[in-house]
Amino acid sequence: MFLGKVIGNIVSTIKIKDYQGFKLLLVQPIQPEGTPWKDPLICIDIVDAGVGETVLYLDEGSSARQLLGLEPVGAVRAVVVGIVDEIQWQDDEGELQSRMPHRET
Amino acid sequence: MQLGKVIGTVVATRKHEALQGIKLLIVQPLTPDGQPKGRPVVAADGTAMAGPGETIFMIASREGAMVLEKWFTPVDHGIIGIVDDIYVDVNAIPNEP
Repeated sequence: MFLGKVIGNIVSTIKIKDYQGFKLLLVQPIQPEGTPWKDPLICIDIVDAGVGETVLYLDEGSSARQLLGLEPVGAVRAVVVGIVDEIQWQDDEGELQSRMPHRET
Repeated sequence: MQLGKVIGTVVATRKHEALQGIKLLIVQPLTPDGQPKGRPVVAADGTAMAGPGETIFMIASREGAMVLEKWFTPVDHGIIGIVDDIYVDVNAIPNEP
């Protein structure tokens, strides 16, 4: 699983049936301290996350199919599975850092 | 899943039998602000309704083939849907390091 920040959403009417009824979010992958590290991607949202929130997402097909009840065949991969309350990590100097994304302005 | 813009079509007469009847489109991957990023790819159209000029979203790797009815197919990029609207909150975009 990866950390990401929701930066927007996508609206699509014409889509394959696997995607009917799911909300699509644009997620920017971030490092623990909040800096981006690769290109944004589109994720299915099952936890009702919103723009600006820091989330946990996965980018793996079988887990996504299992979560969405699409086994054995479903063209899904990236799913937002959690909204992050707090992140703790060790920085380059070995110091323990923490932040609460939803308390930041 | 990524955003892309359909920029062309591909016609192949001789191809693997599993690819018969599948629409192949050339897709330029896009960033959320609509800028091209990376090289164009050939994607199978799962909606059967996308055409040149349209913004779509697609899925890569093993799941690319799963957009099709016959999913046991040699395909590595599949078009999932046609994009109506992209909403990006510029204030939510984290800063580059």
